[in-house]
Amino acid sequence: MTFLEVTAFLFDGFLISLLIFGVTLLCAVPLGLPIAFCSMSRIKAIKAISKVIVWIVRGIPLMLQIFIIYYVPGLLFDTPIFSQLDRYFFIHYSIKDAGRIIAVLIAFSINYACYFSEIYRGGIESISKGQYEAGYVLGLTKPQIFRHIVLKQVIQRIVPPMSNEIITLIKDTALANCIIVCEIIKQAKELAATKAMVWPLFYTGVFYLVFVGFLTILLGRVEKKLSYFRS
Amino acid sequence: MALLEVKNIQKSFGKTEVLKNISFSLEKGQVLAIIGSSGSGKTTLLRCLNFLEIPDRGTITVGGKTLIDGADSTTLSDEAIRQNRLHFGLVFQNFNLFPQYTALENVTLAPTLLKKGTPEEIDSLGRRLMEQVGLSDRLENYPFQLSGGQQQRVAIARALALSPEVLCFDEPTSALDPELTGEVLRVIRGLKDKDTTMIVVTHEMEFARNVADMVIYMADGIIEEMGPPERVFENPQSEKTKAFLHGAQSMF
Repeated sequence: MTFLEVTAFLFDGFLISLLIFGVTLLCAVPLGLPIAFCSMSRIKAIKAISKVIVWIVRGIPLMLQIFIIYYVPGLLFDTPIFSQLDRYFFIHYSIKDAGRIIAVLIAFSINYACYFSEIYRGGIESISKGQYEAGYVLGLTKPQIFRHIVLKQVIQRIVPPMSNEIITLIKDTALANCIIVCEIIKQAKELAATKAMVWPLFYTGVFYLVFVGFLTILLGRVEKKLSYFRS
Repeated sequence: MALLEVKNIQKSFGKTEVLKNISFSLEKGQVLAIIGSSGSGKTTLLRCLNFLEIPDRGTITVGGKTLIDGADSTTLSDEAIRQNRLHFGLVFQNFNLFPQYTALENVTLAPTLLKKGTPEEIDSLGRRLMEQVGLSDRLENYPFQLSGGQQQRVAIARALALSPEVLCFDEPTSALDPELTGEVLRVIRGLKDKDTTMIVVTHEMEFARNVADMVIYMADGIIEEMGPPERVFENPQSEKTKAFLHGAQSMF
């Protein structure tokens, strides 16, 4: 295989990595918000439940969570949904790995939503009481205060920690190969197994590095754009 | 009839009784200065007037309308409290400007969200108020670009934007460098000339003496002494007031 062919083969895998990255972000960023609100709830039961969920999700390896999501429906209910989905999509649309990818997306979305929720919570709790009180004495409603006063300050404060998580996420996509999803590392391992080529495994690092470089610039711009005020 | 009538306000935090049976009234256009040492309940009283704290007992009446009655829970719903807050304005010790908005936007935000006029009307109101506090040249600055005194003047303009019937100040100059207190006090004095009804919690004794129509000295959650400034400052009746005023003078 030529260098170009290897690049193209790995790039196919990297598209899957990017897909997992993009969809996870799209799901986890909003999903983190209700979890954050629950963990700040005044109702003790809701607060306790969300704390336990966050504790479990942050407390066990993401790889294990992928296994749990993928295998548990089959083991407990005798319906291996994800391999059935795999087959269904392959037969009807000739798409490979669809069920496995969905399992990975579910595991990743829940996992990252929990991490994001803790960042949101920290950001929201770091806003001084005075900001809320200033809103209250001006006769604003709670939703108005959140939307027009607190939110932007929270966003400014959470961009740096969110950037960290986002950069970790693209690298975490490699975990999908534990249930044989053809992301980039799986592709490279395939080459090692079938063509006895080891160097593509190291070459995958370049893909990650380029993408992380791009993300760093993008997130840096967002941070700069939000730095016009100081809170 | 008095514009503001406060009757038998009582407030406890846990077992600590912070306000014990506070009553006073204020006529329209009057300035009330509240003095007293830290922990005497001054700030809590002001926060009760703005419903940031809900009194356990007592009533607050503005223009004949009872805004809050510790015994009547219908006055205690979130929406009732929100509406009733509009009778009062509050200027905080730490300004609490909204950092992501310019000075002008800080002033116009609440009238805009509460739909108190067309965008043009609100904009010109904001500019007029910024001029009133002497900051016409700072409209587009963000709070972090302003000095403490300027920030506090923006905060005053922001509170005025909703034309509250009673404007409250919680130690408005305590967080300022000494050379910046003058500009804020001048603005407050200017408001008195426009017949604004004000309650000022302050440690500035000279200011209280010269600007207030009435002075309340608070100690341990009660009104220890109340009266026109000449009487409270020149001829205090209570021993506690005498000791406090003596202490305040002998600092220098």
